[in-house]
Amino acid sequence: MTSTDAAWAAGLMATSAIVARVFDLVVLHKSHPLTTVRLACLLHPAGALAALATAGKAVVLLPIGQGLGNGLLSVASGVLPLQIYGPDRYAVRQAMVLTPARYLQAVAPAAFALALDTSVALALVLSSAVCLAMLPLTLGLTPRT
Amino acid sequence: MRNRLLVPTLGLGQMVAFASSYYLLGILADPMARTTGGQPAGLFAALSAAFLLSAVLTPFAGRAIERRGGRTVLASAHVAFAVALLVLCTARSPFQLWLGITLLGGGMGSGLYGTAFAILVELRGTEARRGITAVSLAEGSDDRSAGRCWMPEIGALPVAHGRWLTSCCTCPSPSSSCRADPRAATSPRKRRSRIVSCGTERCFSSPACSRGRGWSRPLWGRISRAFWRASA
Repeated sequence: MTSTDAAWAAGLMATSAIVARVFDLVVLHKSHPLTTVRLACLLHPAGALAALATAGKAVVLLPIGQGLGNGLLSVASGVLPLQIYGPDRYAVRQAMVLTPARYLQAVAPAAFALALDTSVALALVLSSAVCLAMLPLTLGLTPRT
Repeated sequence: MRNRLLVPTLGLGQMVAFASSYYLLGILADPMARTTGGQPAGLFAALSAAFLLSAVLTPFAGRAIERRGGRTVLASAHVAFAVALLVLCTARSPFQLWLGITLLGGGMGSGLYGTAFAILVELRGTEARRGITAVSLAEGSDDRSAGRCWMPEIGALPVAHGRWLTSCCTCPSPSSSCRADPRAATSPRKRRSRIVSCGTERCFSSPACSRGRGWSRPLWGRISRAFWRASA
């Protein structure tokens, strides 16, 4: 992978994140944010699966899936606590949601690089597993109407 | 009219905040390391340290928002960004660079999404959802092409001439000017009265008003209207 490829992948990822947020703003705003979260959990594994299943031919779907998923997740991290707990003490609860994420964010690049050194497939399976593990965690959150 | 400015202002603030923390090294790591004789890898390690610092500070930021209000915390975070960037732009040694990047973590703990979203919820309560999406959308246009966001892009001009220091210096000035946002001029009492007006002026988002709008409307019109409504 050349640095030009990397720049393209990153650009594609960022553009997909914007597309995902526009989609959330225009289409998903009437649905429950849990829909946003569940959709977000599936998009990175979908891109990874497409890339792995085609032995790298559809690798372009990887940054797209990653960007779409990540774009929705950043919205969801703000909206879901609001929906579940309400606006009361939102700042504190939002901080509690963000804190473990930020600790993991500090070690994630190094951990991913280690996995990537072993094999690309292992890295993708691991990152997809994290996303898929999030899905059952959302099942206990019942929509508050 | 001030309400209309809230989302664009927060979005712009987040753009600058992300550009001068998360994405800063994406474009500046190499020239920084070259000038001071260090290794880019060392600078990225410093960024990890900054992430760690921001993680430690996040719970305190949450409590500070509750006690003092989101705008005070956001303004202080931008001052922290400005200080860190000033340390960076006066750096003459790898150690000082390392220190400056780690200090960015101080702003990152309290000046990113969490605080911006908390301000929206402070002002709009349960109506904040669209504003939250719109602010992250505005910031997202900054992610485009991996850190070659427009803020360092302004910085990329001097970088091309080997002057990354200048670009570090130009970043704090818009950062700190975000303090002059419209919220800074309103007292808590005025803020409360605006929550009320938010509730009554939301004709656009009421089902009756949105019923007539179908997919035939040009896409761009829909998007810009959605953003505009979210700003209200």
